[in-house]
Amino acid sequence: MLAFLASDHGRFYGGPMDRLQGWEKFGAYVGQWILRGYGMFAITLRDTGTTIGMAGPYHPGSFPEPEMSWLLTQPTYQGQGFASEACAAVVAHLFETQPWDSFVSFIHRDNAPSRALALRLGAVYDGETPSPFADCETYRHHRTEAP
Amino acid sequence: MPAPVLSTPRLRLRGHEMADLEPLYQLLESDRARFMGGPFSRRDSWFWIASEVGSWDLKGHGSWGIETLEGTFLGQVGVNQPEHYPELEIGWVFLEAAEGKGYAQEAATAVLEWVRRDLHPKSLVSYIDIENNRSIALAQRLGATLDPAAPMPEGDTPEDTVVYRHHMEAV
Repeated sequence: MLAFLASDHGRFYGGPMDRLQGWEKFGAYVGQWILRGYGMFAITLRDTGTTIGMAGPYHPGSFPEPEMSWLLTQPTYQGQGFASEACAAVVAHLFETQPWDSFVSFIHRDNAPSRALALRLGAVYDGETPSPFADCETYRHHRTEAP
Repeated sequence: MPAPVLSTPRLRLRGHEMADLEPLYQLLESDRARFMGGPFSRRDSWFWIASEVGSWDLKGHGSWGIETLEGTFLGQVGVNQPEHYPELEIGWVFLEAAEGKGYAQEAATAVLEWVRRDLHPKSLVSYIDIENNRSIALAQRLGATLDPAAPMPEGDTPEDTVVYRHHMEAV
């Protein structure tokens, strides 16, 4: 994960960053679980146990609400439906276990694969909620059935 | 692993809670953070504090929130090794209102006992700003000794930082 955050592949996640920033970011993903009771899941391949990325509600102190976020650590893991499979499971889990009626995803304008995935997950463009990141657009996932 | 709860005659040391963040944000964005390389924005403070919470699961050590037995939050003691630290470090930061009562020494003593009894690290140091007289005095009261030969964290130099070494064989 530190290698991912230090690489150009991590450019939509605040990267490339140095190893201290990478540790703080990754450590904070884990610490968020303790502080808030929800957080990012590691995505692993069942066959090999290899960790290929993360998905979950990212909610650092400066965000007013949780952000459904995802990443795959290497370009070779893309294009196989892994992120889609993982995110669909996480979104369903969140609406099952959290009281939230909706939550956002912030997606960089140039990150077409992520935008396509957000739309596949059922999220819709939200022009009302500003993104905390430059050049990002907000997509909103809505609860579709009564809790 | 979650942070173990440690108790002293006047204090309770436990894993951080969300309610600790606001007083720590205020401290870290104030002039009191100057000896830690601050002031820090709230955004940066989140990553710092939350990563020291996550460190418990990832590394088996991390930071504690310190409170009185009545539950008043006083500050933080942590045993951490972020990526740019050559050795494991014990550090402390207390709110201004909690100063001058021996709380930091009481909490740090309990943490040192835990380190020696349960963690058994190869070594343990404190990196302290060379002008932070109060912290240097506390390190000395805790039995640590100045180590002029110790490697420095990336970005620090002997002109701005002193290294105090806590001796792990001592009890």
